[in-house]
Amino acid sequence: MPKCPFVKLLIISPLLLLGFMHPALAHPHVWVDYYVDAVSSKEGITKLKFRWHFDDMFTSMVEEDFNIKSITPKNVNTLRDSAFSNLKNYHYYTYIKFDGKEFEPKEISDFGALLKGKNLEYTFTIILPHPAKEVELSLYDPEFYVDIGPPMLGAESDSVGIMSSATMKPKPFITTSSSDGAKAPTCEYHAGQPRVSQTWGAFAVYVVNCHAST
Amino acid sequence: MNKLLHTVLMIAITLGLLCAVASADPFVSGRPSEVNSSYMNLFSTPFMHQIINIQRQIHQAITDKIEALKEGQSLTALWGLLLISLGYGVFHVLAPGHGKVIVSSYFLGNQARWRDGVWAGLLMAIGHTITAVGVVVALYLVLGLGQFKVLDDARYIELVGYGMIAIIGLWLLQRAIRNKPKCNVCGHGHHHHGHDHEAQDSGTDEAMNIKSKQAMSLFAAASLVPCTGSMIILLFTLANGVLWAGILAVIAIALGMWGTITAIGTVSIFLRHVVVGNEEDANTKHQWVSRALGITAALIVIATGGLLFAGTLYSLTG
Repeated sequence: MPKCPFVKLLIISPLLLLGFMHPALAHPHVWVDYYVDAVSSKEGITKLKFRWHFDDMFTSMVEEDFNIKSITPKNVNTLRDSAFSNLKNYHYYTYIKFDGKEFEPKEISDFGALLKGKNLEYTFTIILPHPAKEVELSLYDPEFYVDIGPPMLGAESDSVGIMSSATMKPKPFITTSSSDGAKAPTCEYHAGQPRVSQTWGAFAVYVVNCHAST
Repeated sequence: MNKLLHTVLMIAITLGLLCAVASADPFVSGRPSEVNSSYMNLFSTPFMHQIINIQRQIHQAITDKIEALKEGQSLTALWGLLLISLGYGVFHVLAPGHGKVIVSSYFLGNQARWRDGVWAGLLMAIGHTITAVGVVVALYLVLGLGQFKVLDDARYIELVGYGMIAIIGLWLLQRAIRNKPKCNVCGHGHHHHGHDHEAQDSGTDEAMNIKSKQAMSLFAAASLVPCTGSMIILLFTLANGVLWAGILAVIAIALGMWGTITAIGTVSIFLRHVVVGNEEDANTKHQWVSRALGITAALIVIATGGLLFAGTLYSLTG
């Protein structure tokens, strides 16, 4: 090791830079598995129907805070107004490109809520401004307070299985359908590039690409 | 004149950092476009997906163990919960807001012994836990607020913590700027300026006290940020009637956090020692490097506190 402190500093500076300049590993506090159904008409893809499946802890918080033991129409309205509608500020964590244009949904339709087993689920639909030939979709919370992604195979395994997560892959989470006799679109997904927020850290997302069938 | 120069410099640096915050933070800019960039991204896609998957599995495993405890499967589930919580604590510190940058910056920029790293880790782990338990007890059990409200209100405490970190960073910066290298190897003509050495020695003693206060304040401020993960676990165990398990899990998380913070602090102390060497015998060159490290570390502390403060403030008010 050289004696001059400036040279020493120069030698270890890449290590220091690596330590400081990598983004923090963001950590979520709410987990959502999403399922999407891409719907086509004869003109192209017209809407995306979502189902969000919440984790046990979030479900427990909702049940206690809104005193919900079962889902009634009144409860659905309560949940929409008190535990969902604020997400419009985050455009419902959906990042959509259709025919190359970005689209940030401000409104959703057909909101529904149900308890599937012990877990809360929301359903809703995002209608595209006009039918699209191609749609690219990813869901994420830029703060990563919410980890929203496809349901994963093996996610239910216990602590012994944690190290086996290298083999984890999404369960089937995309379906397609059509209206007025049109062909259903085709969709596939891939692991997208990690997103990085300087404030909240880095995290990963999946990207779904759908093509209207001709 | 010197004071005026210092003041101007401090204001310029602060404004510069705040501008950087304003343009960099996705909340401040109002669009998440910054999130889409690959800025400073050193992680590969498979690695990041792996991290996400591990976090999901840890969360699910903690949930399963708590539910098993509720159903009366006591000993195995309890050990499982404690083990997973310990691992969660080790891993959790790598997330934003848990003080790893604060600890590493402080120990790179300031002289310390290796055991200071251990104490800093302990202080911060205990602080995080006490704040989390305190917030849940005060807001949920005493004031009877809802669970969402508890988590919302905890963000104001986070805000105060981040703001304090930025302010203490300014304090550190001011000290680092004023800490000019001095002559340590002037055996010649010693008798001619003995009074100067007296002044320097007393200055050093004073500086050590200030440094100690700064360290305690900085680590206390970082500890003030309540660990949301711990709060959610406490609230979930409360809802399931097994609060005792939640408290044990949170203690296990704190132990894990202690281990990681200590490791980060000790490595930083070691790296500083490699560069600066024995500070008692440091020559002028070493002192210049020491000063540069001190200033850089203080700037990183200000930037970290400032960014997290701005991000939290924006998400609370935006």
